[in-house]
Amino acid sequence: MSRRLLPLLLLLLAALVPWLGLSTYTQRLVNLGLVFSLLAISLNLLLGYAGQISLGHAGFFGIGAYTAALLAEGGSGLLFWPGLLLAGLVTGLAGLAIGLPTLRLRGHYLALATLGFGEIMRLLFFNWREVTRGMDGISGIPAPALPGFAFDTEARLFGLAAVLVALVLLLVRRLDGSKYGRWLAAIRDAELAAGTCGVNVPRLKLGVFMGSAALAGAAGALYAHMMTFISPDTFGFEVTAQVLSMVVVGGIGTVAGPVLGAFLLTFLPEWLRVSNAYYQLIYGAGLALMIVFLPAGLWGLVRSKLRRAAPALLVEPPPLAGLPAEIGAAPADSALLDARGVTRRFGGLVAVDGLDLTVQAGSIHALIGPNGSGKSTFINLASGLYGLSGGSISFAGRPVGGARPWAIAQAGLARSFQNLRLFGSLTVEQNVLVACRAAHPAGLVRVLLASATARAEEAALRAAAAEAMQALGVWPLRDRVVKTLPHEQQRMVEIARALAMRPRLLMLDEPAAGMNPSEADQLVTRIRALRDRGITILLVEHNMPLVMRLADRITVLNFGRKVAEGTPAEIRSNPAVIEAYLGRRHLKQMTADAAAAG
Amino acid sequence: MTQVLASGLAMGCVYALVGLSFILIYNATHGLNFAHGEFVMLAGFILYSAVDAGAPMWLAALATLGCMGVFGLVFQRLVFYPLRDRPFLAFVIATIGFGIFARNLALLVWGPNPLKVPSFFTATAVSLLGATLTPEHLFIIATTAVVLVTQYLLFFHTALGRGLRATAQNPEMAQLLGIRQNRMIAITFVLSAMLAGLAGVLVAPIFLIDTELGGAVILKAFIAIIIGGFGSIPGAVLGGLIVGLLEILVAVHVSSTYKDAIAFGVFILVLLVFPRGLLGGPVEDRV
Amino acid sequence: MPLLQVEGLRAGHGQGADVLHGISLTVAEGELVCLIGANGAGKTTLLRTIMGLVKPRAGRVQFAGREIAGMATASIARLGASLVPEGRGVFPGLTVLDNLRLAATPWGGTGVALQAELDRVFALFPILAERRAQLAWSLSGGQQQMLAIGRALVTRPKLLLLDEPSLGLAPNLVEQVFDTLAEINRLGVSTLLVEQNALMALDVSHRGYVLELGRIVAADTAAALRDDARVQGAYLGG
Repeated sequence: MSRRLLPLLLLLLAALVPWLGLSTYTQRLVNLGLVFSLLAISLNLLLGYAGQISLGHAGFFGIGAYTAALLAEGGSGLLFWPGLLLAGLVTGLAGLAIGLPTLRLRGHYLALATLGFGEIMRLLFFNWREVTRGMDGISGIPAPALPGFAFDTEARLFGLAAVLVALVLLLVRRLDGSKYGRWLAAIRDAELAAGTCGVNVPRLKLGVFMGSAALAGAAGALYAHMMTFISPDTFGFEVTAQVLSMVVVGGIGTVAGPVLGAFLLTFLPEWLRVSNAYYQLIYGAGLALMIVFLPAGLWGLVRSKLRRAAPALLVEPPPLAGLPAEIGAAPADSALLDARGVTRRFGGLVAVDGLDLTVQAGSIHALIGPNGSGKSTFINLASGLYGLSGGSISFAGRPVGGARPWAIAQAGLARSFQNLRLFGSLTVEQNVLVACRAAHPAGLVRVLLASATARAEEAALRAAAAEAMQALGVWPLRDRVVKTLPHEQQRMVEIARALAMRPRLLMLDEPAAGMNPSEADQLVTRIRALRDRGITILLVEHNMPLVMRLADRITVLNFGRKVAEGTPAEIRSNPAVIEAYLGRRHLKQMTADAAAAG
Repeated sequence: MTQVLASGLAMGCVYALVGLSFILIYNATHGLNFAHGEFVMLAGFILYSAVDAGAPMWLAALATLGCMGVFGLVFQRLVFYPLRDRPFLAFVIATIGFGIFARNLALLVWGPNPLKVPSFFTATAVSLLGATLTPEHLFIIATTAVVLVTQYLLFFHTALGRGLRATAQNPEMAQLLGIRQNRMIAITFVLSAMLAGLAGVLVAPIFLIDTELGGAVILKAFIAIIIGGFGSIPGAVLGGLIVGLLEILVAVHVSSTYKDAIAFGVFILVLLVFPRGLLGGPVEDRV
Repeated sequence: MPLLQVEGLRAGHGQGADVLHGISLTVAEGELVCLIGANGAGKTTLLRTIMGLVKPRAGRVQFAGREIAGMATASIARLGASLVPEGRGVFPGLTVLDNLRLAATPWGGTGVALQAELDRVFALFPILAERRAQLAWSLSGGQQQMLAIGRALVTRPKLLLLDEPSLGLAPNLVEQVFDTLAEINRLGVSTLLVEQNALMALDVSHRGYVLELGRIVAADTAAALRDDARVQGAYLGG
């Protein structure tokens, strides 16, 4: 109820603001609060949803403000509209220029690069006098206008800004609840796993970075037209820090938190009636204290109080739709995965050494061997997480060696991880949804417009997720946040997530680790059911009874090489396998024993 | 020309000290301390107060370093320790907050007007190899050289240094050998704060002391770190010297207005084409 | 009282279920005891729990007459328990010599006393003396294993805990490592050896425990376990 009612209530409240008889000064502060709301929302998009940082948001804000100001200076208020778009475009491009080189690097590069970018922009605003007028700033920026109507009073500006903020909030909420929001959260929680679930990680990261920059630029355009005057000292690091505080205080990763934070920190100095230094002192300490003691922010606190007990679980799952026909379409007994001479070196260590491996379509193929024999490395190679040092891997007749993880995943090769890599802060259903793909995907615009296509896609995705969750028996847990589940259940969620890719080949890396015999029995049944539905399985597992029961064919690795291959019965009696597992007797001791016996 | 190079080298030494002390914390904890510039600033103000209280310059400098050591310990306990198991961004944000806090606290305590401390020297110029040089610059270069050598000896020829390096490389294994990780991290913070403090003490007589002192130095130190290769201590030193020299040469020969912007331009360029820097390690996370 | 006495130990990772379901075992003074079992049985978790890297949820761990369950890892190490972890854990950016000298931390060894320990290690592994000035990452896998074991000896351990010392080593090297372990034990160092290479581990041990899914399923003398079907069963599910 509150999710629908709250925005309405806020909108109603906002509509009342111009009639409250606020002083012009207070009204201006409210308007500034709205501008900062936009800025905070844009930073939150990056920080909260995608888990990336920008310490140069004041720079984006400034680029937007200067772009709009230079375009409209001394001209008509109608220029606000093209200026708004242009500001978004220019800052978006600036975001591209910063994001492209740094987003593929570790997080601290992005932090330092954006900090440096913000500083360059500040220096430019101050020193590029020919364009920015330096310290003098730019004045004579017209108030925004529509034909025949100018937003030239604080109340009218409020109306304009409030509509813009409401619009952006609506779009952010749609984004948050869409596949894009889930993908961003997936990147934030476990970037590597996001890639193996088919998410094009670099493209999405770059996209959200540009989007965040563009929104900050639009906020700058609004600011310029609202103040009618801009000067470089508005766009220094203090503003970045202030916006960061707004997001953190309000609540990182929440929709409403940044707005709450923006208003709180805009009005705080008024309420406190202290000098700027005291105010900054308080909010600097506040920022540090919040992150230590209340990382979810004020809105996070409010929300956790408001949230009622989890809704009762639906008892009846929706009927199984059945897997689409193309999944079982691979002709049986053809090679689905074909590895030839696969080699991977780490420094001096050869983890996989000239391995030939063929997985027949429709079979359960187990890959076993002692610890360190190269099994997981092979899965990492086949799923694109490692590059090949030599050899080739082809999947369904197409080479996949060297392809990016998301491309391999989308081609129908899914995997689970030995050391669980779930999206910890998401629910079971959301985890599985990250991997779901619809036959007719809706683009970003359709998602933001909530078009019929987008709604149909979301429904299709949920149906697919429900099916995958049922196949692994995690449907009753769908609303649980995965990091609160025991490991055994998390393993099932991982397999469900991989299954949701509708893979032709499913690679399971130690799915039974830590399971007791009855749980392992259940796993056997489920894996068999998957195979019967046409999914080929490559199984890495140490639980030998389980492997012997399940596998059609077993390949044994030792020191990165194949030491045996055959049916379970053949493998069980193969002396090379017994040696690989149990090791050899110690020669001297064996001789001594023999002598004693003789 | 010698004069110009000496001043560039001197500033380079300051950036090197700041960059190196920043990287010490990074290597030990993987945390980025965005309040590091405020460490430098704080040392400047403490030095001023000590001089103001009547202490001779050398005593004031030593007292400042002592205070900074204690400060490093307190900072570690208050800001780092509670966040040690949290994601990387939490510490970044907390240190940004702490930096703002420290800057404004300094503003309230020491006021907005830039403060001046006397020089360590009475002479204003010395002759060396036929060139006239400022004694401050020579002092900075000499002190930095001594500190770097001491630092090297500490890290490579003492049990404490081995413990510090081991903790940075593999904290779990270090504990298995009986090394107390928390103590090593606390010592790292103390050392780092003292080195940043030393940078503050060295620049204070050249610059005026105000709340912007740290900001001016730390940004250059960041550039130095990226150029030298993130995480590399020799890289931070080398990068610092490069930035110091580059800055002064640009200021003299190209444009003093744009010397900072050009420094940042180089920084972005390095990131673009050469993210490992000169002496850096891998830049992407592994599986 | 045995040197190490573990009773009813339960432990697991994070919020996950128990990995160890009440383990009890002992290592007496001077003994070489091996702990064998398939991957995922909980062998590594057991060693890590003894060393305080994983917090025990229930049970007691007594070492050298003191209760160490819940103690900090560094403190346990200082009492004289030394773990050579899986993957060896050498410090790659430190020289061989620095790796070894670091290990004197628990008893604060310096000067002549430290040199004596180093000489002992160099006598055991002459290759380490040759390579003392090299950075540890440049050693081969076998040499790193020797360094890890040698380093553990410099701690002057009362109890040496080894996690899969044969992992990733070529067969002829494995034999050499096991010879060395037996030799070290003869010098009086009690040892708890975790191995997948069960047959060879049993050949050098006095006693053994078989671990399956976090429970001890067999405990006997090494000679008896060698012929026990449960050993093969634990690995191959026979």
